[in-house]
Amino acid sequence: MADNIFSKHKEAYLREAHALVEKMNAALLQLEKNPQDKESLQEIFRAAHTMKSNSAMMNYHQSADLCHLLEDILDALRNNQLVLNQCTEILFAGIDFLKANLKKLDHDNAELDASVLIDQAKVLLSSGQSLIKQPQTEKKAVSAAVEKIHSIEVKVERLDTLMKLAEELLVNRLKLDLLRDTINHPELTATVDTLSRVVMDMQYNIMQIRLLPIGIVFERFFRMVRDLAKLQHKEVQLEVEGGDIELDRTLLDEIAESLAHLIRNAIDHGLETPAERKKAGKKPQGTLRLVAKRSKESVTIEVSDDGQGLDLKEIKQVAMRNNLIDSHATPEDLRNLIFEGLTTTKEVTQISGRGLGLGIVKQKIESISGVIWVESKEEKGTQFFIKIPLTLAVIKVLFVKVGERIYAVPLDNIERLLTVSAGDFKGILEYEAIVYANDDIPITHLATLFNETVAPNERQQVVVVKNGDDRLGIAVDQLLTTQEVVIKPLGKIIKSNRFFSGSVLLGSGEVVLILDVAHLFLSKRINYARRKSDAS
Amino acid sequence: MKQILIVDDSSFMREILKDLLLTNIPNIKVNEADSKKTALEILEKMKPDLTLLDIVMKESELEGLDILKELKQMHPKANVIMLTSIGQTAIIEKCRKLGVLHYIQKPFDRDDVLKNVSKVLLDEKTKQEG
Repeated sequence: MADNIFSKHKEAYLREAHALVEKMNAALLQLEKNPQDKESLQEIFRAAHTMKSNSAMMNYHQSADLCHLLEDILDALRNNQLVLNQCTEILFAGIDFLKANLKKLDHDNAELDASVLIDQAKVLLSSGQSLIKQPQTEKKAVSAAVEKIHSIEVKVERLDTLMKLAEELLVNRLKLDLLRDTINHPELTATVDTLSRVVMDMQYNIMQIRLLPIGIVFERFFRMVRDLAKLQHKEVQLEVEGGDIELDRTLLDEIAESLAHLIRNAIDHGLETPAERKKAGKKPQGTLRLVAKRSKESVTIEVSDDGQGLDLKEIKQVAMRNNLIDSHATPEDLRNLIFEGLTTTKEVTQISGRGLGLGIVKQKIESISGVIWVESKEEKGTQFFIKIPLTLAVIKVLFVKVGERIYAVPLDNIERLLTVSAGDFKGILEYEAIVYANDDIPITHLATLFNETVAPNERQQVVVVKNGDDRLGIAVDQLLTTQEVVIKPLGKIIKSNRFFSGSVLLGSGEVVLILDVAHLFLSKRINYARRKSDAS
Repeated sequence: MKQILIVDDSSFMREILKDLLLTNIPNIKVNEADSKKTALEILEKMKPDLTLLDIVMKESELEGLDILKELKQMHPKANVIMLTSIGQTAIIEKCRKLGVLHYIQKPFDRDDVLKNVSKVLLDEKTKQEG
């Protein structure tokens, strides 16, 4: 256990241990001032107790043994078998030792020797005789007192609160922006501009604090890979790269589960047994790689193995049998089927192979606005890629009005705005479209999508959005303004509705939903089919 | 998805346990509480399938025991494994009487933890299915 947790959890140990020792020190000072203070005595006891358990867990026996004796002394104090002035010096000496020991452990893994103190504590306990009567040397006392604090432990909830406050500030900044534009006073403009910069800077810095290296997640998988491989009688080596890339803690939590799933799949289905590998001319040990790469706006994590790759022929057969595809399906179509619940595994193992798994992984990744795709070469291996945008809390949107409701369209998705007359709409093939610059642009009426009646407009406003090379016209009643807004995540109920990617809180307090353009593309044809059948 | 709650006032202990469980047992979600208040809130809200409870907690010396009593009053069938330290025999006896399934001694052995946790989860599953 110890070897395993040594490097992995040492930082957590040290962080808490420093705090515990400080707590013991403060409570002992308090107790010395007021020997009747039961609560302080209790506090030292609890800190020593936790310190003992934690140290034992890390195999730091000097600390653990010493804490055990400190506990005994405190217990004797509690039961009036010893009096405080017999014990203060050894307790302080104990705390000093723990402190010095932690400092040593900050740099290496070898503990200081506590045997002298331990013997003194034993003498005190057995005979009531205190061998330490003087406090530590003056020089030591002073240097300990002026030691600087380099880091502190902060609860994630506190950071979340700070983040919310910063967002609040950002919303108010947007209100100020409006005022600046309306009032148009040079000094106000300059002040608001500076304030804007500071607020953005602050939010950025808070987000930075919440970042953790993805290596923390990667580290967890070494043991898992070892155990799973053994169970499957396979030899698997895990290689990781890019562990120092940092991601928001909440994203990390979401990704960890998905990665675990992909790794299980790779060991279960991707990688072959040593015998099979030898037959295929590969070295008996398979390799599993976890690689994180960062670009300006996203982080890509690759989970790859050098196993047998996806069996596209088999996938095709199963899919044809289930009428999921026609014979023209491309290899990419086939590969994507594994995210749709298709499985070719004959035997559902305890670990994976239920088919639904990858669908859930896909959903999870999409819930944090990421994308997942897979590449595969027969006999060469399978590569999964997960791409996650780095949280961009502020985007520019265009507000549009449909009926009484306002929606927001991300400006990044908009290609152009058009005003067309009712006669320009054509029924082309199966969908409604307009022709613009010799191009058919399919049209979606937001009103029908959300089950509202379409108001007959002689002049129709159309927002043309793009998704790769595809274009779609969104017919709305009215175009309003553009604004920089703070995205808020959606509540659970709205989340199940795929048309929205987030919400915006307006200065007026009104909540406006942001359209998820990618999903509108998927719905364009269904939508028209429904309009046609409604009309007939 | 099985829900597990770890109640321990040491962030280090919680981290080790959480990490151990998440890396070795599939399909679980691990919640953490560092105080009686948070623990009872989570117990009420999430109704975890299993609670790992440390005996010595912050507010009073034996807060873990209080949590255990309240938890067992609210949900007599709740699964609880106690985390204890060496030399707490008297307390272990009390916990047994309150219906604790196992106790794990710190510093714990990882296989011991995994074995006991998996067993409870499996029993829980058979109970639900049966």
